[in-house]
This record gives sequence, structure tokens and C-alpha cells, in this order.
Amino acid sequence: MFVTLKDVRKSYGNLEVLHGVNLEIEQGEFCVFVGPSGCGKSTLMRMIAGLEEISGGEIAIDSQVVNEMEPAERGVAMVFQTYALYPHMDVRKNMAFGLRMTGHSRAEIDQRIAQAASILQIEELLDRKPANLSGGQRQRVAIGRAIVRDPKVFLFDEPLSNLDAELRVTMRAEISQLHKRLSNTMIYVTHDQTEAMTLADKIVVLRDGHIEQTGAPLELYDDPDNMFVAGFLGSPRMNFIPAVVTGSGARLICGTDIDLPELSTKLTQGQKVFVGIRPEDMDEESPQAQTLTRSVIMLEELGGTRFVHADGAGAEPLLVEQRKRSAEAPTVTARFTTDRMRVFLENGARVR
Amino acid sequence: MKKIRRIFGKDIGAALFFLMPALILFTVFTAIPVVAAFFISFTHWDLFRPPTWVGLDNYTRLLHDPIFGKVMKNTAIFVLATVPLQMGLGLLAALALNRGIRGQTFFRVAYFLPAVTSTIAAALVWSWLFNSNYGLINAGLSMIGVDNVPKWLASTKWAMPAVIIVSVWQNVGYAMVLFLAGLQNIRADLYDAAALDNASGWSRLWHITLPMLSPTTFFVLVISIIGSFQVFELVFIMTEAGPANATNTLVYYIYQNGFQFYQMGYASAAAMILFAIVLLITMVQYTTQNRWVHYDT
Repeated sequence: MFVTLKDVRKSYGNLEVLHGVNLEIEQGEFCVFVGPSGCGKSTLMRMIAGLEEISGGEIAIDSQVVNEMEPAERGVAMVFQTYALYPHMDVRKNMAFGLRMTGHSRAEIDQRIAQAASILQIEELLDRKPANLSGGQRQRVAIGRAIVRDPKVFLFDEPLSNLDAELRVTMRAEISQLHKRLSNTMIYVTHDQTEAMTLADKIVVLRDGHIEQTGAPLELYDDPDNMFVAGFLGSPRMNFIPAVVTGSGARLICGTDIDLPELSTKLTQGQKVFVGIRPEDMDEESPQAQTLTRSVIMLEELGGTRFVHADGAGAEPLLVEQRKRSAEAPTVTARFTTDRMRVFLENGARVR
Repeated sequence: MKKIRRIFGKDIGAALFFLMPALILFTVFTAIPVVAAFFISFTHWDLFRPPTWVGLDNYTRLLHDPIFGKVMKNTAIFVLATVPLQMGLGLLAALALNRGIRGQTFFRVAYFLPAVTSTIAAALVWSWLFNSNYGLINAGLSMIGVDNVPKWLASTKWAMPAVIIVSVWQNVGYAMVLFLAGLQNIRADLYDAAALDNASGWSRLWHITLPMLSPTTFFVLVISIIGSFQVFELVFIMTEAGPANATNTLVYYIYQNGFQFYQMGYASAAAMILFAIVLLITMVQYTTQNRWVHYDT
């Protein structure tokens, strides 16, 4: 394993914000830390970078424990959300600074800068000051500053959050291509599940200083361990319908009886559960599909697809995605099969 | 008036009403005296008889006045000594306090206290401290074995250094507070980036802190130079420009000529020269600032 976190803890005084994180990242892997704000993902990254002290546990990079190492000795380079470019230096000097500090030769520095600039297509910006660059250009330069150091691990701390929506999509694609091209290990922090899904080889979902689940994007999407992961990944998010277990299946909050999928854990009759179905799995053609008819509250027409918001019958509104066009109707009939159904206990844990 | 009306629109009445106190004070105590002094500098006027127009006579006399030459030299020495000292020490104090050392608040107050103390009171106390026979300073110097203790304010050689010491003591705190504010404005992420870039403490100071602090440094430099040129109370209380004009500086010389020798024209001419020098230096500073002042945008 290239990057290893063993029972990593962080506390500020008596307040523990990371409660023993265990994680392994392979060489060349693109690992995304995702979670809501305050979940500890940025703190965890800053601890890997060496910008925050490690209160407990052990972090190793390339089989070397780095707990006591200075940031610059760890072989990591970081791209900050705020870019953190030196305002008084032009782009070339910004990129050269780290190399100058580590005593690289002039020729070597020039060569590395030229190479990074060509990868990022920022050659014509080299003599400009950061103040004269757009947000996207600044982010490119910040990435360039990381590339020239040829680090073992790239750290990205919400690098796209300060960009507008359109640029974010472009830069996202570029970072993904950059990873393919450089094949360095990359760790990326974001609160945006789309970035996590599209970029990651491995997603680490964090909440309140705990890892909720780790795995490949589709693994987490299809087979979440709990309601939090199921709800966090996917947009619009999964429907969670409150239900009570009956003899043959479950009775949903609206009174409809449905079949549940085969579960290895036995549920007891009368037990409260949540039935999770993603909006895109609510309009199946299959003959085995079960149906649920609710009245329509609102309709979002997106052209290629549309989202029907249906009455939640006392719970949250039900969201049904329909990809086939049909006439507007006062009611919507959701069709779903048991194999796309996820069952969660009242405490949020998944029942498989 | 049209332009004023465009800026303030129909609120012009209210705007003028609120501006009035400041405008009146500025006109009566600044604008009129400055313009008046400019004209007076071309006259001989002893305050009792009406002024007589003499053209450039006051200015040519100043050029040949040996005391004025000495005054200019003293002022230059004073400025060149106090400005770097109070800025350098102020920066050092700010850097030390910015690291979050123990008793930070105490030191901050201790350093800033002289800046808010009445100059007259401080100058009086310092005069006693510098007293060559009974002063604490010479008592201390004797105790550590200095034989020929300086006569300080009574010595042509040591009077100026004494005034400089007190001036620096008084202004260090002010520079420090400004530098502290400037330091706290530097974004923390730059230091994070520098840490990852392998910059040592010195490199961070040299490559990040000082350049990022330059707008503050520029401001402190401008006001320190102007303030130093205007030194008056310290000289007035501590030495009365003596001994033998050893501590006579421009503003004191202006005061002497105007209010002791009743040569208002001559004093005004000297004041005009002070004004010209300060204006020139400030203009040079503003035009050269883009070479070393970096604004974080």
C-alpha cells in the first residue's frame, strides 16, 4: 500500500474531530474524500500534507511513517481551494519557488516549468502575476506548481469550489486526464458527490470524523452500507420510504403492501424499516415490477428526462425519474423491482 | 459645483451639512494658514507693524544662514536615525508578538503605551533620566563600570542621540501596532503553500512575510518620515534646541524665528521649505512604490 492511515485521530483540546481513521490507498490510485462540511475530510488531508499535527495513529507514505516529517519532506504537493499563489511573484516564479527552495539547478527548474506549462497549456501566462489571471487560470497555475515538484502524492483540497459551474465541469475533466497522464497517486477532497463519482478510483465517504464507507464509485452507489452513503451519492438522492415489515413483505407508509428483496438477515414482523429506491429505478418496464400510485405535486421537465415529485404520504416527497415522455397526469405510478430496492433499519444501517 | 451636485445628487444639502464641521476646521486651521504662510514668506513681518513685501529675500537669507544649514543637517540626521530604528524595532516587536508568545497582550500594551503618553510628560521624565549628575541612566552606566559617563542633554555630542532615543521609544509602539495589523492580514494559506514548498523560517520571512507586508511598510514609512520631520515637543522640552543648536531641528527653528524673534516672514519661508521637502519625499515614495510594494488582490 502506498499511503496508509492507521487509527488516525485529531483533536483540538478535548474535542476529537477525527475518531480513528483507517485507510489504504494504492500507488497511482485516485482517492476522493467526500462528505458534508465539517466531516473532517479537509483536516484529514492537511494531516497527510503535514499542515496539521497528528494527535494519534500513524500516517505512512511510500512505506515511510511521516508523522514527524516536515510537509516538504513527505513528497506531497497540494493544490488549495484558494489557489494560495504568491501574489507578488509571476507564474514562473510561483512554480519555481518550491524547486528553488530545494536547491534544484536553474536548467532543471526551467525544464520542469516548461514541461508543466505545456501539459497545462499555460505557457503564455508564465510572466503574468496571479492578479492578472482568471479563476480557472489561477487553478491551472496552482496545479502546475504541484506538478513541477513531481510529488509521490498529489493533494487536492476542494480545488474546484471557487470556480463557476461551467468551468468546474471542464477542470474536472482535465484533472481526470491529468491523472491518467501522470499516473501519480492523487487524493482529492470535495463535498460534491458528482466530482467524487466522476473522478475517483476509490471514494471515501466521511461523516462526523468517521469513515462511513470506502470503495469504488459504483460499488458505493449500488451497494451502500447505510442510508447516509446511499443518500449522499446520487443526485437527485435516493427515496427513503418509511415502512413496516409484514408477514410477506412490507407495508409502506401510504398503506401499499410490497414485496421486499431476499435478505440474509431475518426481519421481524412489525419492525420499522426504510425502503430505499433511487429515482431512476422508479420507472421500470419489467413485468415483475411492483407499482405505487401517488398524486403529483410538481414536475421538473429537463428535456431528456424529467423528475416527478409525488406526494410523500406523510414522509418526504417521492421522486420518480421518467425518461419516456408522456402526457402530464394528476397521478404518477412508480414501477420498481425488488433487485433495485435497498432496505435500511431505523438506525440507518443497511440490511442485506 | 456642477460636479459636486452630480456626486451628491439631491442630497447635497444634507451632505454639506455633515461635511461642514470638518470643512470649517480644515479651512480655518489648515487651508487659510498654509496659504497665508505662503504669502507671508515673501514679506518681513514682526506681528506688530504691517508686513512689507520683500520678494525672495527671506529665501536667499535662509540659504546663507549658517544656523539654518545646521538645522537642516540636524533634521536630516534625526530623520535618518529615527525612521529606520523605529520601523526596524517596530517590525521586530510585531514579528515576535505575532508568534503568539506568552503575555502577548501585556507586551502589546507595554510597547504601545509610549505612543499614547503625552509627549510633554514623557519628555520631562526622560530629561530627568538623562540628567548627567542625578539621572538614572548615568547611575546605571556608572554601576556597570562606565567611567566617562556622557553629559547627555548638556553635551553637543550626546544631546541629539538622547532626543533620538526618546523619539524612537515613543514611536516604536505605533509602528508595531501597524505592522501587527499588517501581519494578521497575510493569508495563512500562503504559509501552508510555503511549508509544502520547503521554505525555511527565514525564507518565509524574506519571500512571503516581507513582500506581503510591504503595503503596511510603505504606509509606516511615509507617516514616519513626515512625523520625524515634524519633531518639536521633544526638542522644546528636553533641550530647547541646545546646546549650541546641537538639537535644533526645522520645526523648532520655525517656532524660534516666528515666536521668539518675531520674524514671521523668515519663519514662513523655512516652513515652505519644510513643506517642499516633505512633499518631494512623499511624491518620490509614491512614484517608486510599485517597485517594492505588493498589494494582495
